[in-house]
Amino acid sequence: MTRKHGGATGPVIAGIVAGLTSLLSSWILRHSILPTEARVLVALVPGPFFVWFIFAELRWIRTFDEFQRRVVLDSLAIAFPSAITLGVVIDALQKGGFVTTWGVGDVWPFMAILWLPSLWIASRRYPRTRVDE
Amino acid sequence: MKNRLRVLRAERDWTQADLATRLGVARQTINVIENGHYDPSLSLAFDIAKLFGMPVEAIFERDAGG
Repeated sequence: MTRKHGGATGPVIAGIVAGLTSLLSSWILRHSILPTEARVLVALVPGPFFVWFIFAELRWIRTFDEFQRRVVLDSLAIAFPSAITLGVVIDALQKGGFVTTWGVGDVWPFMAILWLPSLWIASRRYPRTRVDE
Repeated sequence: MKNRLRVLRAERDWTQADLATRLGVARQTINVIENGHYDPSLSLAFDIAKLFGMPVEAIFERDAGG
């Protein structure tokens, strides 16, 4: 009945690899002159790595108990709309001609970055007191 | 929701970690349940009741205002 809490190594590695693959793909598409077929291929390469990340993350979250899942769900409920808000703001600024170097596509890493403070905010909703007695 | 988890655990001289291991949850989960900051699912509440050999209502009690 004992639940073994899985480490975050799997999803962290998968996330880093997926992120790096995406950055590399973007860099190649911006700086190389390739035939159309190759450009499509390079653009799609990060896809399987992100699928790997999703499965690694789900596997990790399934090792959580119900309370830990609640905290993760709460944190995602903060991080996801926050990233959308950021995307909407950047899009509006772009339409207003204020932001030219940033696009909505540059916002997605912030979802991962915002997840950490969101996790902290979510866990503060359930204060822990004495560790034991 | 109020509960008698801390008392029942102390009677058996179990730590939060001991109880967590027996229930297959994290120690933090026992901590927040004991302190009334998190209400367990029905499934976990029944697991707790089974572990202590008591009915659920003998361990968990709805707050007066709830």
